[in-house]
Amino acid sequence: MGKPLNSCLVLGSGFSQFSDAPMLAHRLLIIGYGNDLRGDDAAGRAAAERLAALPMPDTQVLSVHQLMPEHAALLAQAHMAIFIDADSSGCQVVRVTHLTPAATWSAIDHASAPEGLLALAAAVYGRSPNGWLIHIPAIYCDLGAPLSPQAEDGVTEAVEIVRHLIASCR
Amino acid sequence: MPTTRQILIDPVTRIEGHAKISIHLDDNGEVREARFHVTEFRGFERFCEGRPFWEMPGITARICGICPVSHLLASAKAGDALLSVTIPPAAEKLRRLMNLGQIVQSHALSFFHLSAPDLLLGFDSDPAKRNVFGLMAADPTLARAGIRLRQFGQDIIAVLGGSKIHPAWAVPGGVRSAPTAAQRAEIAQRLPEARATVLDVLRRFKVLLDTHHDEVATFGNFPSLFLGLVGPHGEWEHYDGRLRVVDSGGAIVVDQVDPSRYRDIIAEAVEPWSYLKMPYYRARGYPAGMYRVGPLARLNICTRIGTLLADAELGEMRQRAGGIATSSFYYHYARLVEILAALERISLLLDDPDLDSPRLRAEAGVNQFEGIGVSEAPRGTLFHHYTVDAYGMIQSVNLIIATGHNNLAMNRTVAQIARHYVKGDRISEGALNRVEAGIRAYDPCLSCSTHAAGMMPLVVTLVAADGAVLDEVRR
Repeated sequence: MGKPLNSCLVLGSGFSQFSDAPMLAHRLLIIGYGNDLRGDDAAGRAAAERLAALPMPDTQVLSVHQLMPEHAALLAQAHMAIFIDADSSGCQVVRVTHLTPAATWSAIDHASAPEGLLALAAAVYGRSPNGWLIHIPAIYCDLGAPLSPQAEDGVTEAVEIVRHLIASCR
Repeated sequence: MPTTRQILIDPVTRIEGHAKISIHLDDNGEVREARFHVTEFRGFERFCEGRPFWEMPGITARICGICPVSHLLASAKAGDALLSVTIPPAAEKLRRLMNLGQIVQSHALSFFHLSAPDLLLGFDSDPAKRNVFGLMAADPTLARAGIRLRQFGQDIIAVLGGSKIHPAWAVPGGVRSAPTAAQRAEIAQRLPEARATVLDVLRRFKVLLDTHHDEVATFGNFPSLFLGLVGPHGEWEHYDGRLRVVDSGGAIVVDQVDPSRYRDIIAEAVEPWSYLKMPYYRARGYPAGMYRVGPLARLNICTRIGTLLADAELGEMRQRAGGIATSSFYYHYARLVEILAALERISLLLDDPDLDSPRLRAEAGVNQFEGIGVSEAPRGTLFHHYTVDAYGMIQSVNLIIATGHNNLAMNRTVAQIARHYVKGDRISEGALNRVEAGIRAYDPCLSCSTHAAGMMPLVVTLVAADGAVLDEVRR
């Protein structure tokens, strides 16, 4: 496969990413997060990496271990944000949740949802994007395990959901 | 028959990972003891066996999302030992630079995002507002400055490693790449703002210290040993050096111990109620050999920091503490002083001509079958101990993490706070938050290895005064 056409996968970069000057309009931010050593915990990252290979204009895709406070700066620059995470609640289907910024800081704990980051973006930078969370069922999170077949299916479904979500919101 | 009551606080909020606390009351409703439980089994040591040691920096950096650099560096140093090489000067200085960036970002996260809401808004303030958002509302300039300070540390790591979270950049024998002159200039340009931020916060913290006598007196204020790395003349160290142990009176208990001989002075105990090991100073036995590591320990054991502003702040901190700071409330203070020290050291390193050298990596094969790498993580001394076979395949791994070193002291801290603030069988919001804040003073990192931690069993135990287990719930 050739390089992604318009989307960009960021595993981390330099200064420009965390500029203190938000407001790049019409930008889509996708963040898949989890621990890629822990089996299905990496499902969100796997989905992000597949999405990064697709032609999506004006889109930034992140694959990260966990959500961090500085992601709020990126969120403030985005028109729309889609988080993709593994879900160990026992739910067997891929779920989509529309996010409401929540003024709690539980988001810094890995177990928490990203609503806090949206609220932080609004509080610090005065702007927060339309946010969505895709939950991919996680079955096995053992050290060194590959994605389970169920999680693989969930990743595939999540990618399709994201594509539809983007299409419907543009 | 005597009985005991137990109060559980589960989970502790705003620390990395998952944990619970149990407070055991005696027949009179007084706090008998407290335990800080770690319920997530990690298993990384076993997982690493059979892998090439070359992969270890990249693997162990993925133990945790908050301090990957610490594991990366300790692992690379263990690899250096297996190769039996002295790494090039540029490589050592670049590793130091990355570790300083890690100290800045991690301490800034701990102070501004986790602890500042308690400290600046008050332990008894409205819980709904006692968070980073409340801080933003109360003092947006300070909150933004804190966020930018953390970004600065993260950006240093990103510039060096190419990835903020798991930079597999340090490798056995050295590092993969060096920053360009333009990137170094960019870092240098941002130093004045970072320095101004930490000086401002230090000034505020000292005012606050004068109004928090209760917290200073009860947040882990007890005699203990302090352990960490120091330089050859006892100066503050964060990357290399040798081990020193100091007692609460300031007496040096043991000094200049080669870190590869850590087992001569450190032993590890286990308790059935926690997966986290409990290291102790071997000569004093368990649990009397309790010691503390991390920013407070580093500042307690060193003779000086070696930079102008940080040494001045260290002098004032010691004056306020009356010498060795025995209260864990001072961890916050020490963190701020260490940020300042890190910024000053970064400034010095950026001008070092060795950083222009293209020689970044020593090449060798396996020359030793046992390698030990030690560095100072933001939370304390981190040990990576590997044995390999002739092909460099890992045979055994032992990791001693900062949170483990502090395990005994954290339990003692919780018990002390609970005795002071918990009355009867109810916990007020203020008491609850102080118990949690006592743990947060250590900034423990229990490995955010998975947010599917709920798959691990949670055990709740009810213990009688005579030690009998009255009930145990597993889910």
